[in-house]
Amino acid sequence: MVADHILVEKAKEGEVDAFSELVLRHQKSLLRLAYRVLGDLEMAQDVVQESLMKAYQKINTFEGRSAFKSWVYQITLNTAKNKLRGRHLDTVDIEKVHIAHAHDFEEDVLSVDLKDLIQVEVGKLPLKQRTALSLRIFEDLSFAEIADIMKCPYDTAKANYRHALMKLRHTMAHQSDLHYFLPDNMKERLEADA
Amino acid sequence: MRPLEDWIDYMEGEVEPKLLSKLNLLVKHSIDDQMVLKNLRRLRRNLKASDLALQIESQLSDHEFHSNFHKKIIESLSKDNKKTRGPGKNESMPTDAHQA
Repeated sequence: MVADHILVEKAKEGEVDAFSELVLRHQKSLLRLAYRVLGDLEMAQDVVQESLMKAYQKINTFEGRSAFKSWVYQITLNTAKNKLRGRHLDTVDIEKVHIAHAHDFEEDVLSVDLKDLIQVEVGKLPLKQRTALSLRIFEDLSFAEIADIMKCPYDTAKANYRHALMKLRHTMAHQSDLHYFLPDNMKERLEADA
Repeated sequence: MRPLEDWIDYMEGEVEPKLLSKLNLLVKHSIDDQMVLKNLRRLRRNLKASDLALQIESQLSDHEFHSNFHKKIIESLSKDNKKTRGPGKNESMPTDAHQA
């Protein structure tokens, strides 16, 4: 298989087929990424299409210091965030916007199942923490790749991930639904922590 | 007990060798630390299983969907290619410049 950076060089020389191969390789994961932000497949498709168009138009500015994948992830995340901003007509601070699922439904947290509960709590995290968590857990990316995508130092990417996990552990252990899943000695310890 | 950050790093394979041997010992002998690690791993598994994108896996694994979407993107690129190509549009773009 031809490496991404070779295809990028060919795309820079105007070979549409090379860029087409890059699209084929990354479109699925980009759709997942955009869907996690937007919670709507049609919007996610628009965002990915727009992001890949931007990447194609600006391919000559890509210097190859990070992986092509990190670069298009970054473009897609920014485009998806802008789409969210537009959707909420600037009435909501983007840092406070929950993931779509959490934002769309006014559900009683105690009545939803564990999966929904987790999505709600993840949605409450600050955007940077949510991004680091999502890229690490759902995309299995290294902290170096996450730092590239988030345009931040390695330690900051790791700190955002840690904070997200610590916050979730603390918050969710206090939700009665999750309490059910914890062993007794853990519940006692978490109550003592609080 | 070790700080939670250490156990998160341990779970993620991000611990320095010096600390790793200490943590390995605790995993063997400290019930409290074992419990912290076990619960962190459980939280991680639950997070992974709650991925919102799992809702679209059936569409994503559908060959026709995949190929139609690819076709749509390439067509829009070709249209755009006919109009203009390369830098010049007034929009700030992420660069891949190296982080300090």
